Amino acid sequence: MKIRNQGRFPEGRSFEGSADEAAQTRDDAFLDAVTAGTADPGDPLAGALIAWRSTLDTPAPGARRTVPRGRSLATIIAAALGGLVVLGGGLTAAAADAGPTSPLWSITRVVYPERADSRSAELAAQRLLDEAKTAYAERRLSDAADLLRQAEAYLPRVTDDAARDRLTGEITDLRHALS
Amino acid sequence: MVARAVSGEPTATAALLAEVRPGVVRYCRARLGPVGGGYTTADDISQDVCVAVLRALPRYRDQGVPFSAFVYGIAARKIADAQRSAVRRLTVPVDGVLDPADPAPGPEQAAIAADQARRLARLLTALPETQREILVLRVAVGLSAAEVGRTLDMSPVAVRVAQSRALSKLRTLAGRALSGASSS
Repeated sequence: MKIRNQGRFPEGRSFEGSADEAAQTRDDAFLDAVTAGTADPGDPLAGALIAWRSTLDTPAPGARRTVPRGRSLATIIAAALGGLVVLGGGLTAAAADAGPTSPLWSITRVVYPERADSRSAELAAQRLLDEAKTAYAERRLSDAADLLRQAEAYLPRVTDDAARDRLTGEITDLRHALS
Repeated sequence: MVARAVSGEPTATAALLAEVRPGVVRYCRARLGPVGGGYTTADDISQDVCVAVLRALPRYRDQGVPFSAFVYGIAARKIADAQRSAVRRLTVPVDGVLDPADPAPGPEQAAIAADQARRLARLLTALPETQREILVLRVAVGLSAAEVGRTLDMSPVAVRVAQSRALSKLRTLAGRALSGASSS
């Protein structure tokens, strides 16, 4: 699969009227200075390039979707990891829903950071909920209530609707039992 | 690290993706610009690019091209796909279509910077594609002229000539626009 120079960037034609070599060197250094943040901001073009570059680094709250359009997340991850599954041998399709104990968790965190955060929160909430149930079964009601509150605090970070609904239901049931 | 990632080692793959992701995000933001005051669309595309890089990674070794060319070639295609889709749906601005002015700018300095950035983004659309791509890779992504050359399959000299011409044209086009923005 050829990627580069597929006719998008023709190089064969001449650069008629090109700047001289000194100007090219100066301009190259100018761009290096812009990217390094050391260009003179008093130069209008330098200031504009620096401003443009800085806007590209601006965090965009909630910008990234957690579920790709038109396809399920599991399908996307499974498809994306398909090559690795083949080459890695030991890696399985179960990685499509990778959790912190999966060998593919580090990849999930990079490619789908919001999904990874949601999954982490879901697991933390589930662990606390399980501990709360154990405390309730052992009649440690104060501990159970405290653990329940801790589990509930994780819910806003759980962006997977099904997981959040399930956890909310279990938390509600246990709260009713405690009341 | 690339070789280990290509062989399917998860830790190396994650490290490689973490390394390329910031540049991919800036590239997509630079190429698509803000939509509705934010970079949601560009960031979605950058996520798609990372997934596409992950999928294509096992084939990288056979291509014999620099890794930056591999990554930004994929990114360029994703951008083109998004622009074609935007044209069909007429919901996402494409190159040459400008965003409306921010109706509620923040503090004065931030507003000036945002205005400068908007003016520059507008000027970039007036450049030939090669020159615009070079400036995006040079300034937005932060590649050197030599790296840009390897990425676009151009000689370093050709890159320096093209970027000089791009800067010359920008200075000519900018004129009072950028001067006014910086002094207002």
